[in-house]
Amino acid sequence: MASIAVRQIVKEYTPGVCAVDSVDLDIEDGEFVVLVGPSGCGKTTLLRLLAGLERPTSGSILLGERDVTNLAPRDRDIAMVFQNYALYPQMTVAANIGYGLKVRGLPKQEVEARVNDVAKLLGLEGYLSRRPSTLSGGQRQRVAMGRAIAREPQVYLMDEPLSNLDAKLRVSMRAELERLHQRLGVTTVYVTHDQVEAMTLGTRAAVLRDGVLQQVGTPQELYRSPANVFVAGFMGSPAMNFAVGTFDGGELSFAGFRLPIPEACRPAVRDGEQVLVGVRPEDLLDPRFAPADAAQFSVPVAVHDDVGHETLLYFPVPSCAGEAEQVRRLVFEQEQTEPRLGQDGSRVFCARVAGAPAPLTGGELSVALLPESLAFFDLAGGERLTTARVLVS
Amino acid sequence: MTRYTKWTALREAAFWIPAIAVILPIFFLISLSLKTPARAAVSGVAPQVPPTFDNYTQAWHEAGAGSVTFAQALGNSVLTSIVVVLALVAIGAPAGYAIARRRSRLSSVMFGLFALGLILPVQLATIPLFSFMVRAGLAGTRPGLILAYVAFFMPLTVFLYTGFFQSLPREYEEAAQVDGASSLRVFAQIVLPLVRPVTGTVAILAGLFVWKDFYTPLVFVGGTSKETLPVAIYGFVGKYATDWNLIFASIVIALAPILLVYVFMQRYIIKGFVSTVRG
Repeated sequence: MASIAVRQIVKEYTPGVCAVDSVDLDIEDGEFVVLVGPSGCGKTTLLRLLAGLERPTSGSILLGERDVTNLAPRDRDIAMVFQNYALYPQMTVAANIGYGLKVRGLPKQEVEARVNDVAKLLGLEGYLSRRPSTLSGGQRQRVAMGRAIAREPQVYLMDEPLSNLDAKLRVSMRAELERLHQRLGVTTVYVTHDQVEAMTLGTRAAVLRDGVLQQVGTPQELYRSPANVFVAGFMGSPAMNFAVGTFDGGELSFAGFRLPIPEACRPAVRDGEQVLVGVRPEDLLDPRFAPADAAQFSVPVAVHDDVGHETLLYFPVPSCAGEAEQVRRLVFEQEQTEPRLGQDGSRVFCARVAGAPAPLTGGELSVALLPESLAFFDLAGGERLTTARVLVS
Repeated sequence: MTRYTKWTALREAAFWIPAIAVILPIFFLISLSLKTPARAAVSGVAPQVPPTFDNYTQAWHEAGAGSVTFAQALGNSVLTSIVVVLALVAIGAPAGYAIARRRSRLSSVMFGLFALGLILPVQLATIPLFSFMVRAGLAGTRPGLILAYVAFFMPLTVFLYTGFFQSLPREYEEAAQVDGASSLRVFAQIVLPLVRPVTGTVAILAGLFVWKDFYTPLVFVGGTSKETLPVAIYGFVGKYATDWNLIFASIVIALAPILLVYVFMQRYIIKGFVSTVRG
């Protein structure tokens, strides 16, 4: 087992275009860190740099005390699970699992013993003589894991290993991965574009965008204290609601809401200055269960999705000229459009309430909002604006 | 269930006509090879009952107009075919792999040169190549003939391998690298087994070409003990100007090995053009 230190790593495929841009990252021995971000953010490139499958343009990588920056993959003592598993089609499952051991010169009996142990651990005993083409996706994924585990490396690198599985299998394999990590305790770097996996799997997660590291922290830190608007919008499903707001005296106006904001919850902005306001769907509360001092509003519900244990309510909100473009520029990728836009182009908020909401009256519903649940971001750069409450917490 | 209509019958007839055109010469070939000269002169169509295998025995033992016995020519053909195929795979596969995997201007230029080799007719190179062979002391030798075949067939070999390697996902090689395999081991143990269909295609196409080629051995080893079967059979034409029974018998003997190999290797030809890799 070993720690990983990434120092100012840069990877340019073409001059001036950085796939990974000056990333610094420290991973503790035995830690499970998830690299998460949208497609093209550089997470897989960073993983491949750790594996030695790509050479960095500049910067260094340390595995424990060793500088492995210019070492070939075979000399780094790492094992990798690929997105498409990359099982050798011409070999049996046993040969696949044992290939790394055979290549490194282990005696035949030891290879066989380790293969059998790993097969037992992953429930593959009955499949050892079969070829990958005869296995299901979940079985292939376990064989790929087995190939990595058998090597007993210092670090596991996993490149979206669950992305080709169906939703139900993904959930069960996620649990199995957690169990394996708890049992084996090996330093693991896991790449995913799924922020639910990032929230549930890792001890910490690193969010990337356009090759730049946005924030590293525990899943709760990323969710509750995002460093910028991109992290706030990326983590959480349904995504955070955003609107441009303005302070006027002790009150904040945004998206048709107007509510008093205590000094402790207010960022250091002047009256009349615009800020980007974020509120999580679950922070738009059902007034029946909200604290008495929560501000209440009546909203016209356009769509409500009853998913059993909760209900998602979508309601249009008024927006000023250019607001949609401002939000889109800060929160989403360049080629993306804001997903929650009404048919007439109006912006839509999402509220998440537990169980069934109060009955609609004339198509309208009441929601409650607490000022301390609001997050504020700078409109120019998207950085989170601190409040006295944030500083204290 | 499909009804058998007059159109079905017409379609069947349309398939049978070219089939008969292909089968008929083979029928005559075998039929005449199993007849005595006297019976062959009387009737060229009706098979002889019982057939005679004397033509085969005589063709095998008789020397042709050239410098080789039939048995020697058969041995030359087998040896030349096998060595050419092995050399093509041994050189062409790594060359195709290097061109496919190394993204550089040199790779593109090399591939372009090999593609040019596909387009240019081999006969254009005959005179300068022969002149070179003479100066190098390779004219009339088996290594010279093998070198000529390897050179003529290398463009297609590299073209086939390069295309297949380019379609092969890199993850297999990367997984092997992470597992600890050296570049040579990755190529030999992981990549090469995955391109078996292409290797089979190269083997059968090159082997077939060398086996039945008349022009190249006539030019480079004609009149020597290194003649291959097609040239040796041509020698029989001179000696037995009208004894087609012996000529046909020798042709059937020449066909037999290649047919046997083709029966076992034909699935690789189809796989070589349409195969995918799963795993």
